[in-house]
Amino acid sequence: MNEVFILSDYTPFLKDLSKLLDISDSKIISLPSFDNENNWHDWSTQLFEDNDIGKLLIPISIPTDNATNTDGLKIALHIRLNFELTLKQRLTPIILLSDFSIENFIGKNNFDNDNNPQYLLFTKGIYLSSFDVEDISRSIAKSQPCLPENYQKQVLSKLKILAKASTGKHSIANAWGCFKLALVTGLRDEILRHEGVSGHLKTLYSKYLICFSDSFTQERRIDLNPIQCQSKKILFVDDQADEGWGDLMKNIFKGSGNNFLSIDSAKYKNSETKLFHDFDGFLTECRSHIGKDWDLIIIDLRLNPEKEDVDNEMITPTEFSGYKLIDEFLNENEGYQIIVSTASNKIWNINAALNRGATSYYVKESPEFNYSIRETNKHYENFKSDVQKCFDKSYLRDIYKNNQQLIQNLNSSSPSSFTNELKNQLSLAYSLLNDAKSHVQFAYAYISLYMIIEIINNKFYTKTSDDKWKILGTGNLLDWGWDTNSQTYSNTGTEVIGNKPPEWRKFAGIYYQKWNLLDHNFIQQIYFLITKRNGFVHGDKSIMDKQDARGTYLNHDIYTHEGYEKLFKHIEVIIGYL
Amino acid sequence: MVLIIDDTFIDRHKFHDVEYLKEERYKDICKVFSILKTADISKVLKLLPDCRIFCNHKTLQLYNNAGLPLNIEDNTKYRESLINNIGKSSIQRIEFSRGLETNFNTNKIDKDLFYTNLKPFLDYYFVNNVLEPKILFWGSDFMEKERLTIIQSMLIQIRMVSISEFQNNASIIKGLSEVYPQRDPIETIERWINSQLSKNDIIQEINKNM
Repeated sequence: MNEVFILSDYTPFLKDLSKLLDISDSKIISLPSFDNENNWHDWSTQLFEDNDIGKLLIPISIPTDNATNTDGLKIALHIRLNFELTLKQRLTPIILLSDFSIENFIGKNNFDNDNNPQYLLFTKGIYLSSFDVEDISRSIAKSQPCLPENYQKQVLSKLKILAKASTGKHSIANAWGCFKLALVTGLRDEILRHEGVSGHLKTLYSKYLICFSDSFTQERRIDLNPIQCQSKKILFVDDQADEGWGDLMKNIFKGSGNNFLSIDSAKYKNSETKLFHDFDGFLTECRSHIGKDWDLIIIDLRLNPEKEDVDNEMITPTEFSGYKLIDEFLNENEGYQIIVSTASNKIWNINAALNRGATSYYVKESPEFNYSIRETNKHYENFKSDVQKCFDKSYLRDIYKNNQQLIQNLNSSSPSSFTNELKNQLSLAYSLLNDAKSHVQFAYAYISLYMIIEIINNKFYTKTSDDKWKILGTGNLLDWGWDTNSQTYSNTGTEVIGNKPPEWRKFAGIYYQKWNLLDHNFIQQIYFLITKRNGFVHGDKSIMDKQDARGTYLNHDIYTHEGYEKLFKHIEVIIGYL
Repeated sequence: MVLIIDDTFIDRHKFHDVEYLKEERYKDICKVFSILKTADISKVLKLLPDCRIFCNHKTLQLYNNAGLPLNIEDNTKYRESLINNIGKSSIQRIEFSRGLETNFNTNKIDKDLFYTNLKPFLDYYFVNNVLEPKILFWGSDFMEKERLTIIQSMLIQIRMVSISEFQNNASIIKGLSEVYPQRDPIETIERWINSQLSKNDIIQEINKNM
């Protein structure tokens, strides 16, 4: 009997029985009293940590003076599904004790419809005995653990454990998704300490799923390639932020330190039901962050699950509160990089957000998917890659902001076809940049932005009858050229005659002759910027492949956002002179 | 009358049919307060003289008069005050909450189970004019559960005492009256003794006749 333990409520009956069975006091496990079912999980974990249990006797009705409970079955079920125990511990033979025949026991009890603990009686490694000492001794002698390789087939497959309707799929999916992501990011222990997650994971339903998918591992994972996000400003908006996701994301984006902000959803929820009592307050706080300089925003699609339930087919994706919030952020700044997260795998919901301008999406894993850890890991790697893409494109936020500022400035001048043309061109150029993925597409955006210079030149020049180029409100264009000695632009006083002069010279004429400005360096830069454009348009390798003394290509930035940004800075200055 | 104070009641219809509570006859016997404002606590207190069973959500959230939830400190203060008032009376108080371990002796019950059994509990009153709280814990077949408990107690005593002591054991006598209502328990015990039945045989016989 050395290896045999008994769970006891210390009634005289069980005390006598333990004595008759020769079970020493150290092998008598005291029945605890818990307020919450989830405590059984932690209790059983501790129990096996403290004791080397070979076989376990559990009275089905415990406390034994109350036949209306079948708690012994529930306790056994918690042990069988305790993913924190080794498989050997989980499969410890359990001898359930009752003097009721199995027919009476099953026929006269009402079992919990969700957990159906009675199914455990028909699994391998569970033995049923009366309280007769000899009967118990025989059961102990013959009892054998289920072999680990048969755990799925002879234990798990025979159980019938369902999600509690009142818990809601959304809550379970939230905890599950959080847990799975925590596993592959090396944050399992931190997240399991979170009541919002462990509260759900320690229910029999979640435990069953975890065991079934064998997704729990004692192995400590480390993310060897964590997201590099130093100095990045990240906003996380999720109604489940207080349910583990906030802490998980804060850890994933640890590098950003205090620049990571998770909206505290708990402030607006009932602490027990976790339902919003002030959803509008939550949304108002989310909105207060519109307009700030975020490098990345992660927004959950359904922020108000009470009204936007997973299975509610009546709600169109654009009605989801998360979608509306994405829309509001993008209305303020189309350059925001937004990842939409969702526990729904409905592609049309995700597509709506992507069509509106979200950069990417992250689908929270649901227990229904039951992915392996390898797949979860791949999923996380995709997320990291998407985050990096967002960081890489976060320059769009400032460009968009400045672009809008330029358009606003043009709006404040008297409306004309000229200002309209400039505004349209600015929008078009931004749009091309926003969509640019390939090198050539960045160059197209650059060319589109360059068109602003041509529009301005066209506005200010008319060709005279004697073939000269008249600048609006002043004289004719002079022969501006670069003087290498003085390192300035100068002219000989000769007016340009004939065919279209180069655009840089036309612009130089406006700059020096009409606006009376003197920054030669500025015009030199405009010359380079226009030359770059010409090199690309005409496929002129002598321009495009030009290098400086260190071998750096001088004009290859046309293929990246950097070329666009350089040109944009000059366009901003030019429009300021209008 | 039964009073139910449950701040989460507004969502209950999603998990249980509670529409019946709007019917007049149920409303007469069972009053539910969901969003309870501090100013309305006095209305609840006025109902206490007619109240037999008071059921409250364990983590009850109360609201200020503007309908906003009270902060933790104020909420605890008002909730404790309300519960103290119940404690001073002879009203049975039952506490329910999601995931709470159901225990008849400590008057605690899982919230889902509470609402599952609420209608049978009220319906039983209409038929028998008795509010039977056991129904909230064990359902409408609570008598069968009680019977099982009595039989279980008998089985334990059968294991513990010698056969010669059976006739002096109240639990065994009570249990036999449940299993063999038409028979004299003493006669049954004598039959067992005369037939030299083992305890296992006796328990087997009881199981067959349950």
